[in-house]
Amino acid sequence: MAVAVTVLACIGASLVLIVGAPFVLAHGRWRFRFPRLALASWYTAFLGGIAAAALGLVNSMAAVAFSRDAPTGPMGGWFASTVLVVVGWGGLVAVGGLVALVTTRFEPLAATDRALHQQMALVAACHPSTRVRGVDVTVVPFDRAFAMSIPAPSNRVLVTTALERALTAVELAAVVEHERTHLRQHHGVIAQLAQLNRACTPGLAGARYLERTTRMLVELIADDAAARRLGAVHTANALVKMAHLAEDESLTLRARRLVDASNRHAPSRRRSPLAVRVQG
Amino acid sequence: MTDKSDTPAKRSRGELENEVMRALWRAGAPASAKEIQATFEHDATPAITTVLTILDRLHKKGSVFKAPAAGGGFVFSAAQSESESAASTMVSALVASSDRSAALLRFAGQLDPRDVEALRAALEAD
Repeated sequence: MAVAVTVLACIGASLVLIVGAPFVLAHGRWRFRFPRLALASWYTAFLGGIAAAALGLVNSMAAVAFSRDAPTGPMGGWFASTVLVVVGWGGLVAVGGLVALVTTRFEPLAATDRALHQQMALVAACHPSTRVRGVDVTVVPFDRAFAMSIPAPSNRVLVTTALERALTAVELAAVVEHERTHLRQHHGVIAQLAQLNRACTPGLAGARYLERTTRMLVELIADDAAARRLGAVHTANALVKMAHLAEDESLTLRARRLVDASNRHAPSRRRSPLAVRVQG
Repeated sequence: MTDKSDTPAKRSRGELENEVMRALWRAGAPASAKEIQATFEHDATPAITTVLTILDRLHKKGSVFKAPAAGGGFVFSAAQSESESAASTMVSALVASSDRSAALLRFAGQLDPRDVEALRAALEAD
């Protein structure tokens, strides 16, 4: 009976974490002030839910497998035996189905990424790169202001000449540091995990929240890292200029967030509204 | 008997533009529409009006420079070298692909409008 209760508790915990936690974590201003904590909370809930489900399944299967050796063991009572058998066998079928689903959904995503890495390798081979704090930065002639990070195996930051012309040297360094943070903290892998999760469970609101929130939080985390290294003003100015070039208002909001955070941490006598404006 | 699929009329607009660009790169110097037309193979030569239309389209796209010729008319030259153009095409493909892959993260990240509104509300509440 104790094992059955444990199994049910694991399944309950799994449901709470995977299905319920997103509805809590998706709200509140704290997410924008502490994006690293928010991202860690999301993935603790997500991975914890999976671990709880796995633990429940293992317990159930073990109880079913070993029950005939213990006449007074956990199979006493119809309720306990029903729970263990249903969860044990049902769980096996579910795991098998999940493995098949993940494999089916993963392959097209992996194929897209392989093609992208091949394209990136071609681009990198044709253009000069410089090494910036452990990461290759490739500048390519392109008339759109653009910067992106490409994870392993490419492990590279790509910047266009249009962006190079639009920013000052320190602002460009802030952009590179932002992209470098994505690589160093494996944000691409985290984003892919969220994408795969949504592809496997498209009907689950929690899966959609996780993917959406991951995309937002990794950008805020990278903004903060760039601000810590190059200064909030330079990073905010880079964001504001990109907002103008890309006609993307969210970048202006990200800049304002950095300035507000900088003001909060500054001594009160030095606090003043930082004028963030497009230069030139 | 000529295979109709090889006649200029059957080639797509994109193919003809590419052939005109290749002709300009091979020329290595500003060339008139007639000179460009002459570089096409005899059985695949487009009409001079077609060549002029394509050059006009490429000029509007910024792929081709147009300058008055000494004896009247115009001469045309490629705005980018062949390698620059190839690189630009590769980068365009990469940029377009970044929309499909979660692994590629862009500085101007595509935030969901609901998250943008939530961020705005959070900033205004602070």
